[in-house]
Amino acid sequence: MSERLVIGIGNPVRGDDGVGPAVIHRIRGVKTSTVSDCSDLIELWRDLDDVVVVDAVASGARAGTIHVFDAVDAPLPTPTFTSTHAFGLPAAVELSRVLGRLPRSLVVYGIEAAGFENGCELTEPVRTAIEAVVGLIESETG
Amino acid sequence: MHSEREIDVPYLARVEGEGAMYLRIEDNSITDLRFKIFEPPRFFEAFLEGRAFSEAPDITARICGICPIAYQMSACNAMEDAAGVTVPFGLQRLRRMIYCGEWIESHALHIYFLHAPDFLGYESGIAMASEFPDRVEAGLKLKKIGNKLMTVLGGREIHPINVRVGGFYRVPTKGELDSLKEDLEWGVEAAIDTVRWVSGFPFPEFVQSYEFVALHHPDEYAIHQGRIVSNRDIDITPDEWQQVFEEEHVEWSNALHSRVKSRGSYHVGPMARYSLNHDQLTPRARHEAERAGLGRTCRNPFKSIVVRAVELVFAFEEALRLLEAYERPDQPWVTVDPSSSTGHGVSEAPRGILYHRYSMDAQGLITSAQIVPPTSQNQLSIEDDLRTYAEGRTHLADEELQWQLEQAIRNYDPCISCATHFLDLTVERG
Repeated sequence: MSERLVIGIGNPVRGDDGVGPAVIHRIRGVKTSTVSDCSDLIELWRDLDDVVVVDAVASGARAGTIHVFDAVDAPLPTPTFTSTHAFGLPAAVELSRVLGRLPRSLVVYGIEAAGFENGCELTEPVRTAIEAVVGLIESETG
Repeated sequence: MHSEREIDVPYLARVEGEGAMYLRIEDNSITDLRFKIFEPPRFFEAFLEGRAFSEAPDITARICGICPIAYQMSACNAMEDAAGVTVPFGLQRLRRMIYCGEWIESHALHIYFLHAPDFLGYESGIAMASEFPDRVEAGLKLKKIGNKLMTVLGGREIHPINVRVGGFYRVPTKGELDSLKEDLEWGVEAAIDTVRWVSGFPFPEFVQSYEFVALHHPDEYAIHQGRIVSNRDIDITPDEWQQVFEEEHVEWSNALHSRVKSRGSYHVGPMARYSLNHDQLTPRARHEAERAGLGRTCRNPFKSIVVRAVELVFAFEEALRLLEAYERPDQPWVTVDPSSSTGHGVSEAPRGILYHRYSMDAQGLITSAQIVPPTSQNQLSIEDDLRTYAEGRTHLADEELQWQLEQAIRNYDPCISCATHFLDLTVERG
């Protein structure tokens, strides 16, 4: 089994969208990377066995809710307008699956966001969730 | 019998960022058409006020995850223009090279994952990948080489950190660049293969009479600098921008629409560059264009995929040429002293010209900023295309018409608000 890689997705200047990079910033003792163009994920994880991804989600749940998905097990849930983004995380997962390049283990932490406004800070519920997710990943890795 | 129908597409698939389209058809004619985009630069213009002039390249690079180099280069050009500083030739060569990386990365993504599926009848790149895995792998490799080029020069492919006003923080050694040579040589051949592949796609007969606007440089196919020219009468320096172009706010979109004063819509991007600067492409890129059936100009927006592939050939060959001629500059940057002044900067983002204007006080703090991205310049042109294209096809069923109109929008590779990536969920599990 190769070393675990933890990837944070998002843009730090767009409020809670920055949750992925914020987790990466705090986490210790594990190899990390940040990505803002999800199509880069396919190359990034193609030869890895053990990958964890952290991203913001908007499902209507309470802000700060932590969703956990096993992306090897099943496609990530996508609503009707999932393809809003040219190439989002679910697309990167599915393209890798089709090409037979999905990591053996791919766990996705989705943190429920409150807002994606330009120039806003992370909201309080999301900050709390960040600490929890960092703890979860560090304890699994350690 | 009177008939009315509406097509409302709140979100557009495979468009960078977020967009929406609304179309109203009455008695087989188009009575309302709106293309809406959500655009981030307005926020950044306000955000930049009070920041140091030297911060502009890094801050504006955050606007777009796909084209950070374009934002950095236009910002640097503007700041150097304000200070009256000319960056030496060797550093300009490096800027051109890193920009080639961005064109490669962006064009490969659009051709293979966003646009080709349209022509082959797939809903997405994923659906296409199961039948064309080798093509998709080639597309991924092309994109990766673009990223690699940006990483060697920029330090990090997304939001590169090595670019600064006046040059670079560090310039690569010859050896570091040489490590890219083999990949670039492979890329030239793979890009030629791309032109041949996409030129065989079925294209609708659809030709528009655009006013093409692009940069033009006397010595080379313009990328990072040049005069702004058109196929009508525009021929200006970047600091004359305000005399020729204006932005107008439209009610249904929070983006400003850019237009040529007293005339209206214009078209920027690969087709404009190709049509205005065709003779400056490399011989092989020109040869492949001719073989693909392109004339010296291209006015069918659906064929923009072929033009992008031709530019892909060019970008690989140009990067290779620059690499072979590379001599490490003695100084990675030149000093740029701030003064109370205004500067203008333009460069050719993958999607077309990107204009920045900044005013600074004597300490170099930004007092006002204006950023005009390619997509807001193409907005009117996109709407013109949609209206004309839909007029002749109102007999199509809604679903088919919607599909074709979305394709007409994707012709522009519109980068609308690419700086955010989050999952939209309807199902919740714990």
